[in-house]
Amino acid sequence: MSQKEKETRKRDETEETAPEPEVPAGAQERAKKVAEEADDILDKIDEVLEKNAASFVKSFIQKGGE
Amino acid sequence: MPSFGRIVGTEVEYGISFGSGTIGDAQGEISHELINRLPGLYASGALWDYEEEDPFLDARGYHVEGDRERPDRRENRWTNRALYNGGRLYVDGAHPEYSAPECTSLRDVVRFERAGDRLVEACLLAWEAEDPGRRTLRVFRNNSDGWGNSWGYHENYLLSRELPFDRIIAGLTAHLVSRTVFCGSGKVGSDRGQGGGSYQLSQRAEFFEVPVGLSTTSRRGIVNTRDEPHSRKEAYRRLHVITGDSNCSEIATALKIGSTLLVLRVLEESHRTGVPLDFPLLADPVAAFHQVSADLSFSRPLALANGKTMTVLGIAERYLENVRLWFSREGMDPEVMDLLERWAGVLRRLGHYRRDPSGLDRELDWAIKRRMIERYRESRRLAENDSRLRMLDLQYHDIRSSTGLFRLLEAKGEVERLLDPMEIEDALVHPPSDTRAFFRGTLLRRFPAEVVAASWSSVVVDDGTPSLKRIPLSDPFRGTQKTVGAIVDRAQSAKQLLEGLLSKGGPTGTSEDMS
Repeated sequence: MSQKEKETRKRDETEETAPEPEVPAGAQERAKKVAEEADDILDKIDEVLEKNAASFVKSFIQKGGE
Repeated sequence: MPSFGRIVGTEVEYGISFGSGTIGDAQGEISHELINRLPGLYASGALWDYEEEDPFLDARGYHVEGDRERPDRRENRWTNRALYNGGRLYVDGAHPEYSAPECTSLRDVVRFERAGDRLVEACLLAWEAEDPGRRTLRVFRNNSDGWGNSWGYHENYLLSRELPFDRIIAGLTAHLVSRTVFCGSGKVGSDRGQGGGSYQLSQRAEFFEVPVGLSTTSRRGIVNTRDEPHSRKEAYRRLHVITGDSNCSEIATALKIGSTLLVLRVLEESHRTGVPLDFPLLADPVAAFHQVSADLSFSRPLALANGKTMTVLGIAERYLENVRLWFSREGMDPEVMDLLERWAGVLRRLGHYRRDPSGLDRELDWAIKRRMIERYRESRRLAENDSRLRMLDLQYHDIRSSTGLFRLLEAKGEVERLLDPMEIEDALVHPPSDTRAFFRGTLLRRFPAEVVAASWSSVVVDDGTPSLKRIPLSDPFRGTQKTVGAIVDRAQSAKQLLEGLLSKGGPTGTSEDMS
């Protein structure tokens, strides 16, 4: 995704989550939406997270720097 | 009206491995290959001019034995890229490193630092596309491998030579320790057994062993004494701060640099005017640094030199109060005002982080990352010692847009931003307009065949005559768009440029500069 698309997307999301009238139904919907977004992020993390985590963190040894 | 008005430059070293996590002895070679894949859009074939470098001069007044770097032409080119944005991409030891150009505004500091990640990502994609073995690489904007090895993130602040070094040590040490609560980038586990718990605030704190020191690779000191101003020695010193973590969050970077810059300005001003300051002195700065990093309650007492104790938030608030008092007397520009407000807001929220982490977990790296890891661990029901937790930590710092977890959170609107992404794109090719980086970067881009080398304090030009001409850039505030932009624009060749500058008296405005 290009930076520009990201920006547009971010803006869209901001608009979607803009404050709505304070009625219980709206609040419930919002809470549901936040939970769904959280799940969505965790799913996305699953997609990109290194599959061989155990071997990666064991092998990742760097020469000291600076 | 007082603004930041100081020269700041930051340096980021990157961790690097093959896709599997291993790299071993190939690390140096691959780092070189990586920077040599930089697309021609961002740098010419110019060399780095090592003439003026002297990293062994100690601010305490003596010279330390060591070999100055003087690579031959081939080695120089293999190791360096003098960038059109005024910065430098190179290999330091076995790590790729990006030095951002000199900046005067906080916004520029943040965007030029982020531009470095994008440049390294461009190298990474080009390396992978051209690798005959179809291997992949991973590059991390972090500072430790979890096995006791650390690489740096360095801040450089240009200060008046008049401020004595012992005043810097006394005034700054407790700030460098206490700012960890807002600028640590967070770490799962521990490299040297100093962390205690399962998560600590700082990647770097454990690696510090002495209160003051010159070395950056062993026996690291909280206040580093390197005295290499890359400018007029009699007027300036360049304070080299090595305690910081490489932040991903723009907010954390701004707070780290901005707060430190303002503390230094107050130190300078108080020295100049003889007004005493009320900054706390730690009894044992090294022990305090380790303790602060490990204490997520922010409430364990820290021993002061006067026999009393303070909490880390108490110390951080004392710094903020002193700075705020100073600037409310002197007046401040909007950037300083914004920063003070943000600084105060973050300290307030840290006071009740245990009850309510919201806000901080969109602003500060250690809190953003901690929340991400906790959410993932709970929902996937992972054990405390599951290696995926350490992998989440590492991958948070992965600079690749498609796999970096900070980049993912940012794209999802989960973290606060300061910048418009287009400001970062601009910083890939255009230097800051208000420092000598403008002159360096613009010349490199305008006359790629004639500028043969550049450094922080010089540009070396081949004007067609038998001898090369070194144009000194001894004053970092000069060589700006305002003063030399028109001359550079008008010149059709380096020769014309030199003539234009000579008639004006040099890029930094004094005829001696052109001698």
